[in-house]
Amino acid sequence: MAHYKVFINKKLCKGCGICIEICPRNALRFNGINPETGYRNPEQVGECIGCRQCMWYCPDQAIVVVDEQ
Amino acid sequence: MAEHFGLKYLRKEVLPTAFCPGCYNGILMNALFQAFMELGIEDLKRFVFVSGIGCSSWIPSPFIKADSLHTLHGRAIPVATGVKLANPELNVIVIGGDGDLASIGGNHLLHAARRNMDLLVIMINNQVYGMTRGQAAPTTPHGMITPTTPYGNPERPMDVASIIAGTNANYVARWCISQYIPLKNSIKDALSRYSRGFRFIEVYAPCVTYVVRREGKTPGEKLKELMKKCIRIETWKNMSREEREKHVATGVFKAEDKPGFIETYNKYIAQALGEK
Amino acid sequence: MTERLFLSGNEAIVYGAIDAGCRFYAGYPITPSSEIMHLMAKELPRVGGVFIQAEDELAAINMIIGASWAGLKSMTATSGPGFSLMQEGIGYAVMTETPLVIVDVMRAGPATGQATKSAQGDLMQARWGRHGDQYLVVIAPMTPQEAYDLIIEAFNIAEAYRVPVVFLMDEFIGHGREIVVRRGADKLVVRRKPSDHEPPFGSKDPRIPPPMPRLGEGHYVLVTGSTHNEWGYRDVHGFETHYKLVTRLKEKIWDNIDKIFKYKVYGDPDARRIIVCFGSTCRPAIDAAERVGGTKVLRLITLWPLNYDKLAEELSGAGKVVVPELNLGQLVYDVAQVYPRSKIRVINKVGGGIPIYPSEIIKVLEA
Ligand SMILES: Cc1ncc(C[n+]2csc(CCOP(=O)(O)OP(=O)(O)O)c2C)c(N)n1
Ligand code: SF4
Ligand code: SF4
Ligand SMILES: [Mg+2]
Repeated sequence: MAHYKVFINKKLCKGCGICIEICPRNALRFNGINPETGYRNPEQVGECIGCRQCMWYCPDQAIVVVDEQ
Repeated sequence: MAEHFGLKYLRKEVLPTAFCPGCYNGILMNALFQAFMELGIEDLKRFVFVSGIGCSSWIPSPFIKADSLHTLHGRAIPVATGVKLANPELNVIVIGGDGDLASIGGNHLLHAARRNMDLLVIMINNQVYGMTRGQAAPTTPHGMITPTTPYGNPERPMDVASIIAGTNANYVARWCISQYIPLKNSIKDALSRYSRGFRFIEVYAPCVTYVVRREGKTPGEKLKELMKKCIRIETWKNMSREEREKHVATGVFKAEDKPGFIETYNKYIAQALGEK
Repeated sequence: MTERLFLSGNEAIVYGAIDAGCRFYAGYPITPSSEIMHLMAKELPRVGGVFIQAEDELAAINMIIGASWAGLKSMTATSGPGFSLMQEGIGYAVMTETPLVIVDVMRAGPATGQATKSAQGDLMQARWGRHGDQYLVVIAPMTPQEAYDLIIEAFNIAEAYRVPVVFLMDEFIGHGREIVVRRGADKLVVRRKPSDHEPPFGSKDPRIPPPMPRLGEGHYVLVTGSTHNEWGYRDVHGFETHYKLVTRLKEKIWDNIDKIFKYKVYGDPDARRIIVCFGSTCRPAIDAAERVGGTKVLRLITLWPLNYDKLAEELSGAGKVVVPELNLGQLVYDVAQVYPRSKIRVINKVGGGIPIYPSEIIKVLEA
């Protein structure tokens, strides 16, 4: 079975939360504040089904979803 | 780590963008870049982006790695017209706001569409003047409170896509920012199947700072709301007046492939002067 | 190829522009400039150029800006009301260093004024009509022949200094018809393109305008009317960037004043009675000077930048200075900078299409 991994580019992420709210599997959560940008960054906490909605809807080109199979 | 597909079309050194966290302008950028990628466009050397003044006008300038002209407020379309007429080989794309393109630059929009000028124009309808802090735009909903309509907007919003569909423009579509795939496909069409004449895509994307957050919503919540609110025009047409007001009609309003201005101009000149 | 043609100033401009290499024209009809547009519509396609009738003057000026960046020598022509509408665009061209030629065939204003009647009321507007600190070049012909010759010069200046040039022509010259020798251009300035690491919006020596990339050639050029650094990146906060940019844009013109500024002396060069004039008032002035003798005519060809040192030099030791103008007094302010206002005699007339006659000038000279 496919196994997907969500990478967050912490330099670009502005902590808007869109990815977290849009993910149909609730696979993302905020994880503390990035001291370099002052924004909260999400991290992957659950299983990703590879729908790529977070990647499309992240306004800051900060998400890449990779098929790790 | 794998790189985001959009980054090769961006000037990485100026990222992140200057937009507010969650600003939907960035989603349009993804759709645009994915369209480029799927069309096999490796770099944007033969593209020229022209924009006016406003948040959305900053999308190309300075973020997109291409030639760009960041022009006066409202004047992107005439500048783009000059570029295209002077060098028809270039792919000229205008990106701008509803204030920029439909208010102060509204006359140019109408006339470029009437001429079927060979341009792709993408208008971000964020319902307000974002850059100047959220005043009412020609697209602001009736009754909405803004700094210039403190008692509610007495005017009704302009249906820009329908107006442009009523001209000689070849291609007209409206999509919500929540309709990523159709939006991306529409941009692709406007650059491939319909690559001549005037092509207009209105992108309905409420300003997250001056509309969405004022409503007390997060950008993510609003996106999910839009997914329900934005429906295909065919469905919308069959709704009651009341229901229509609650929805946004989206889809392709018009898709033709008539010769654009340049072909027509050249044809007349060749006819009159003969091939030299 | 030298042709002798019977042309109005408006028509002469078209042939001059085409001989200067102009290949793009956008405009909006307005009296008394429309003949330029009509002839351009006909002639440009014959030389492979492009003509478009814009929806208004805002569009016209911005279309020629786009065409200029795409690599074509571009121009527009208009008159008072249209010139007013173009001001913001001209300011943008100054800020972005876009070569353009803008012809203003002057009619009597303000507002719609008298559309068919000659005037010289746009002198100050041509120099200062835009907001912010900005400097461009203003040139005024005196005859249809000069309309032809000087429009070529206008394109050369625009290209050499990357600046919009305003060609300020009285309606009398625009519609006056005379023999014009179409002699072709002696020299044409070719736009300099940047080499690899040359910025498009900066130069170490402010007198040397930066090279201009052409769109579509892989320079990834950023053109913006906002304050920008030498690579075109916006800086809308810093003092340094703004100050450096606007002073360079000024110095680019003013530090080259010796090359740009042109004037001509007629009559008796040693006379103490001096007439200072530009445009259509020069011929009656020269005529008057010749008839009465003992009079020098100082005729300004370049109205901006104005070399005040030269003006002072030419007026040093003057007795009576006469400034005839088809307006209520604009050039007189320049003369007054270098010569006591109390000793200047003005002749002001505007409206009705009535020129200043030599006899009127003679009367003032001899008074
Ligand atoms: C001639 C002129 N008038 C007013 C302004 C101020 N101004 C800057 S941006 C803007 C509104 C932009 O709104 P819109 O085009 O909708 O872009 P948004 O910021 O919403 O994306 C205004 C009025 C200006 N720059 N120039
Ligand atoms: S959508 Fe993008 S910018 Fe927003 S929180 Fe997620 S990763 Fe960050
Ligand atoms: S003000 Fe609105 S449109 Fe402008 S960047 Fe912020 S969210 Fe985007
Ligand atoms: Mg807006």
